[in-house]
Amino acid sequence: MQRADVVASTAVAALGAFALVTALNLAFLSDSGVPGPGFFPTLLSGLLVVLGVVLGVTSLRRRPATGTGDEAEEPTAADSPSARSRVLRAGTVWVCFLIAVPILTYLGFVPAMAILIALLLFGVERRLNWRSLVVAVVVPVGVYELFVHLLSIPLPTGVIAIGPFSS
Amino acid sequence: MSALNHLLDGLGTAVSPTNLLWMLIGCVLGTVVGILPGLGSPAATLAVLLPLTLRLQPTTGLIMMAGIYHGAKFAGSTTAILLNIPTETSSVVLCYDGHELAKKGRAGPAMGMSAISGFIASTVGVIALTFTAPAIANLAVKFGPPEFASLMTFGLLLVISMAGKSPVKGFISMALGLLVATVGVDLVSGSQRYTFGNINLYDGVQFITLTLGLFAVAEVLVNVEQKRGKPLFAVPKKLRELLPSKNDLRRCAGAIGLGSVVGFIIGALPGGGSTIGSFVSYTLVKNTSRNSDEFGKGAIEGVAGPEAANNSEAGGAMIPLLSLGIPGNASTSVMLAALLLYGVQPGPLLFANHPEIAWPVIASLYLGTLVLLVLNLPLIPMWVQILRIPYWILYPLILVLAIVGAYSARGSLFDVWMMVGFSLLGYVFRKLEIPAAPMLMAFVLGPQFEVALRQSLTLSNNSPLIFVERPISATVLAITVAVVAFSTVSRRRRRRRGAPALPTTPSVPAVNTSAVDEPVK
Amino acid sequence: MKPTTRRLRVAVAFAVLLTGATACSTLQAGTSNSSSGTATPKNVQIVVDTGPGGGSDLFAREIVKLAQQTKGISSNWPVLSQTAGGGLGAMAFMKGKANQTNYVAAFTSKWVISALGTANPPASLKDLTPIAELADETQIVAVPTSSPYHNFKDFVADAKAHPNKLVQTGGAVSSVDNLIALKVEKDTGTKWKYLSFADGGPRITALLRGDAQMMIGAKSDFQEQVDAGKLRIIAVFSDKRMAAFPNVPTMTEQGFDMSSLPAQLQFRGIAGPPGMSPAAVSYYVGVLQKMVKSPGWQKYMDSEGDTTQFVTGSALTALINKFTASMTPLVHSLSGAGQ
Repeated sequence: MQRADVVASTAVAALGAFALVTALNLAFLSDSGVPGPGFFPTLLSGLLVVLGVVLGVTSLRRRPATGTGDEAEEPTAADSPSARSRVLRAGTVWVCFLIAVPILTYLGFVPAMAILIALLLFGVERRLNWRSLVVAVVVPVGVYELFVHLLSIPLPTGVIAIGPFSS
Repeated sequence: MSALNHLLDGLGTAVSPTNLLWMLIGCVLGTVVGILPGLGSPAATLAVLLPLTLRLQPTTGLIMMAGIYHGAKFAGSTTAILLNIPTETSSVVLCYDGHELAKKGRAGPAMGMSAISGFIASTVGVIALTFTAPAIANLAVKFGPPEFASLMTFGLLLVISMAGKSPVKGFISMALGLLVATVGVDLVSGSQRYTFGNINLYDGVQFITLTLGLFAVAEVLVNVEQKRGKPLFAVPKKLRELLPSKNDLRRCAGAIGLGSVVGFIIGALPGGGSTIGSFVSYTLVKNTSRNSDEFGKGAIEGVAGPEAANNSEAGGAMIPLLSLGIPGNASTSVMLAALLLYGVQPGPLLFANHPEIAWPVIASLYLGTLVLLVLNLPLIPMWVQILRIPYWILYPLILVLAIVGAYSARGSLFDVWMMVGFSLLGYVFRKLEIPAAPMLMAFVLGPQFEVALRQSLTLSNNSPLIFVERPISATVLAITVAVVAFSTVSRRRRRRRGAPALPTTPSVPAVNTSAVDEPVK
Repeated sequence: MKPTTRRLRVAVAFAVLLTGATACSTLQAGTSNSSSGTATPKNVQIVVDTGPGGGSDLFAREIVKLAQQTKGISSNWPVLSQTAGGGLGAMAFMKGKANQTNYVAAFTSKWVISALGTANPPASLKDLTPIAELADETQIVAVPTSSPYHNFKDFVADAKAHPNKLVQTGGAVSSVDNLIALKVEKDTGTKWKYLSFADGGPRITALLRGDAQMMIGAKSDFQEQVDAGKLRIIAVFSDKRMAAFPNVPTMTEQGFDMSSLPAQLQFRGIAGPPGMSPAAVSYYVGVLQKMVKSPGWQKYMDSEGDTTQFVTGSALTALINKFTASMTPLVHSLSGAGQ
């Protein structure tokens, strides 16, 4: 936990520093002396740097005595030897989610969502059966029909295609 | 008392069977459409369903819109409670206690309380609208930038007081939210902030993009870590456990009362709306409650207070619309557009020129919550069934709807990418035990606070005294200080009586005073 | 062994369905492209710069509805929102559809300003093929009834006496009402403050409350308050007086030099992608011309407080050019001050 906190604090401080450098290009005060566009960004990114440093220092200092309030969380993290595989599972789902976006861009909504659900159900959940197939087909088509035809809200149709269900 | 007579006449018109039927249909449609992410805000639902209503008689059409409005509001609360997806800004607060209740198997009571407090609050709202409209309209006009800045301070107090176990992490989350909110072309100066020359960022980050990534999808990622197949969390089978108990109602009476009044007044301020109302109401209820330690862990008052504010706001928002012709928020803007399409010009002269429309509309707003209560209390057991859907079906559906929601808000694939990015951030937040809610709340309140502060200082030529010189602003600040002082004192007293204070708990007084001072400095 | 075959079958069925759907869509894309050379474009989409329910979105939906009612078009034109950067995204999208005839965009004068305010805009209105201007919102000046200003000269005189003291309210700094005010400030050597609100409601209450002394906006912003005796109109930014306010003189009548500003400042119209064929342009002009003559259009204009301005061809290009030329120095002075 502490190592994660140290990493987090570094990331927060770095993000804050980056935001601060960007904010310095904006006017802190406008010509009439009133807070300008840079006023809030400068203060906030500065605050982020400070908070990152504070988080780092406190988590380093806490190392000898493993916290009072954290104890409740420790067992759950420790009793699962597969903590890594759990993160891996979540990560796999996220990657499927991520690659659905370019597919969405190029193939359009229905094929992309069918592929996303198929990846999740066949790949991650290991449910290669007819029920999954029905879900993978019915959900994208149903959602598409609902939005595009019932509510007249367009969904992406893809670069290479106008879409099989275009109105 | 002629106002009362008019209201009763209006009720008489609204109660005709045709009108009631359309209101019922509107309520169902509003709930069903409002549940879809990206359409969760009543304004979007109204806009989407507007063509349907325009085919009807003006009065009937407006009555149906009132039904849609309430249905959509209830739907927003439903997704927040059941799935931790706030589809509109005013239901963000519900993620704290509403979803915690659902995790404990008390989703039904939470939703029931949302409908009941909503009904009571709209009763209060409509009665207040009938009798106090001129006075409140006067107050609404007097509420300018300094007053808003003071009110925002109060709202941001909530964010600070919800910082949780590790105040530093809570503050990091809040600062990030405020920073993300500054992205885009600055309204006041026209400068680009954190846009990196990308035109997709000129209008800033959309609320729905952030909330779907940070909450909905991140929640899915955490849930899929564990297991395959089984439903999300336990749902009691007995009907009695699906509705609020008498004890729940007793506990919430004060919260509902407080929330109704606060929501009504803030709803009447042009630019106020239900978001600030629900935040302020939550802060007030939490800090004046005897059980303030339970808040954030599933206190039912944490649902009742904001939901009351959220619903009495509808009555309040009608005041500037009807008496000044000024829409108070996005939903009333759509109502205004509809009135104009019917050839009715809302404004100071509406009641004189078109009483046959004005009063039935007010009456129907009220009836809308009644219909909602009658319709949705029995349906709550059905809604809760969502939680019984096997998770392997539910989570792909949530992911698909998240993509639809992020895309359809602006028709932007860039927003979909951003939502995917925020979902990773949300997951990392959970792993590092950084609370995500302060980021979302700060994101919602931040821009309004910043603009109000800069507007105020522009008006006063940079003199901070404007916040205490204007009587309403000074009053709001005084209430803020009083609430902070009250909660600090009562917490100290309780601590002295009970267990000794933990050294790790946030030092509330120091934090709060600094926040109060901020706009005055 | 059985489960394995079943799995195989499921996978094959999925693959077949997927390729079927994709192939079918590619086919349809082909047919829609082949139609782009003919005189009556098919599968027309109308591009707007706001999301569902926003100003341009509603405007486009109204046009499509009326065009169908007047039998100008037989099929529905779906509305496509490209909201990025106040018109920049929509213009960039249209630029990418060069020479195609089945895309049109509902532009506003804001699109010109958005492009001017960006260092390297991805596209500008000049890149597109203007088809027709349809409507204009005449800009008028309102003050509270209790205010001492009875014409714009009174206001400017007071601003001269108290520099940087008076407050005008409105939207973003780059909105047309602020830009034309900046022009008057420049011409008369005065300076007043500008109070930005994102929504329309708070602007009116700022006037009623006395936080702001003046606002430039459209008739629909003020009508109700004027009828109720709370606001007064003191000037019109146009070459003619407004029918609704026959006693209010124009800025030119009050002695301000407005020759560098075009007669129309808040206009809406329809444009096609770059290089749209003249045949297609005249097709759209025909459809729109039929539409603006219908009573339904007049009713819509009245409810919006807009006036019909049907301008096409070189007159429209001239209008856009004059607007661009007069706004360029104003927008540039703005970004200098903002930084």
